[in-house]
Amino acid sequence: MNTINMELFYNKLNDLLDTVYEKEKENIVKAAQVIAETIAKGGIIHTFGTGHSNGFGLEMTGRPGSLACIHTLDTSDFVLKGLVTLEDFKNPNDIFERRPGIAEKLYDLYAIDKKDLFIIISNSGINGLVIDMAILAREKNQKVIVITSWQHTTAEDSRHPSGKKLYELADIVIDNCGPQGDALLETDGKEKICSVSSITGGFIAQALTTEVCNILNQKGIELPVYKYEDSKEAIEFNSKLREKYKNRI
Amino acid sequence: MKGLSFKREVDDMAESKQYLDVLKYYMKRAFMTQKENIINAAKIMGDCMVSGGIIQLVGVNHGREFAMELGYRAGGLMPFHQFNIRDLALRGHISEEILKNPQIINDEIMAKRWLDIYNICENDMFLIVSEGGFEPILVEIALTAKRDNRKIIVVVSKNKVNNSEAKHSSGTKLIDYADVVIDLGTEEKDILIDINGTMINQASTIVGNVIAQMLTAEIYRYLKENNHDCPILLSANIKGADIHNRKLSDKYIGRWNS
Repeated sequence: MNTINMELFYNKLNDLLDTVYEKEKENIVKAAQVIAETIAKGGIIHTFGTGHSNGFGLEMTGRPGSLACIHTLDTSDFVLKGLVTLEDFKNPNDIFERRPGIAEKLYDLYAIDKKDLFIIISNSGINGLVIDMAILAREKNQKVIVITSWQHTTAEDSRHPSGKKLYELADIVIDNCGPQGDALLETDGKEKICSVSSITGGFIAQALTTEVCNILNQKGIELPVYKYEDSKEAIEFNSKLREKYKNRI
Repeated sequence: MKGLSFKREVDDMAESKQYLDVLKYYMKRAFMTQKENIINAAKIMGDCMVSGGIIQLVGVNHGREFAMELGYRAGGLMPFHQFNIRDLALRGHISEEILKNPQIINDEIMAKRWLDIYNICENDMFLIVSEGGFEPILVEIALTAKRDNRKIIVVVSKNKVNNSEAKHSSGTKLIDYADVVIDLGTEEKDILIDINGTMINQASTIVGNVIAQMLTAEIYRYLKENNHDCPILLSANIKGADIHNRKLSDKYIGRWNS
């Protein structure tokens, strides 16, 4: 077993990023095509993942150099909007996200248009809520891109009553190439350490952005990307961009 | 024919490959230049864990990603707690409107309210992440923590810090309170790829996540070298994970958000 230190992680991560790129570049391009079409039609990209997977949306928007037309679904919005108390939301005896109908209620919290698209992120792809959301999106004829760990999702049974896993409901699947359990380094115990899915997921988010912008640019469509606010023009541009997607992001 | 559809050849993915190369460049820079800082920080964090303390992870906006990277996940270590400004609204202290007002990060008084909603204990320390290191709410937290004699690790982009004015009323920045500064190494303006004159893509948050994991590896190494247990959280799919993780988290009941 190799000595655990930062060098080991750094080297293995570099290899893993190369793997992600080589293995998934085709799928990234396919996903970018669909995303670009959605954006060109005035659609929004909705990201959704439970737990740490919800960081994907944060990586993809909200700062200079990012696409503006990205919105993230978040179950804690039920609390923020006063529909559920925090206590009820965190009730350990009645897990919120396992209650029936949550996906539909979450979907209805937002102004989601039928021309919008979903990116759903889940390493395991077996959790009921993400699968329910994918099913719902498909029922409304919305495209679903799934980011998942192929190693993880093929190793476990689905927890959804249908028996289906998230990737089976996708128009396009992108493998974040993470190991089952997400941790990269083996220790001398049964635990593994150093999570990678946010890093490889982050790379995928960035690569999608690059490809989408390339495609939109080739079509002569102005990029809905926030500018660095170092001039009056840039501040105005960003303001107009936020106005364009107001109430939807 | 190109231009008549949205189809794109995979081999044309030149810009994505360029992004990967740029990302790896910044990852390498962090690895090569921050080794000593990461190891020093890991030692301080390991000592904190051994003494029963928790590392309080603080960030706003994209600084949140670093906190999320370390906070309660499979393959991660237990004694971390994430500060999340959203908690102020979720717990009913401020309205959604105030939460979503970008000015909140300039509010020094809000820092005290934010500190007050969490149960911070004597042996706890702080790890504060911010590209520019100048947000008044974060500087106020660092100032308060330093007044309480706590250890503080700060993760910033030095290029950005050096090109930014202090905004806190004291004229100070996060780095002024740090026991260790870890440099993300990214540029003052973290936007990297040029698509026909429009700049897109960033590296600072992914590099931050990589640093977070390198810290994890070094904390593990430090604890093991000193014959301590390392409190690693197991993935749910491993047999006995629930019990193992519960045993680790019970030690800190009331001090962290699940």
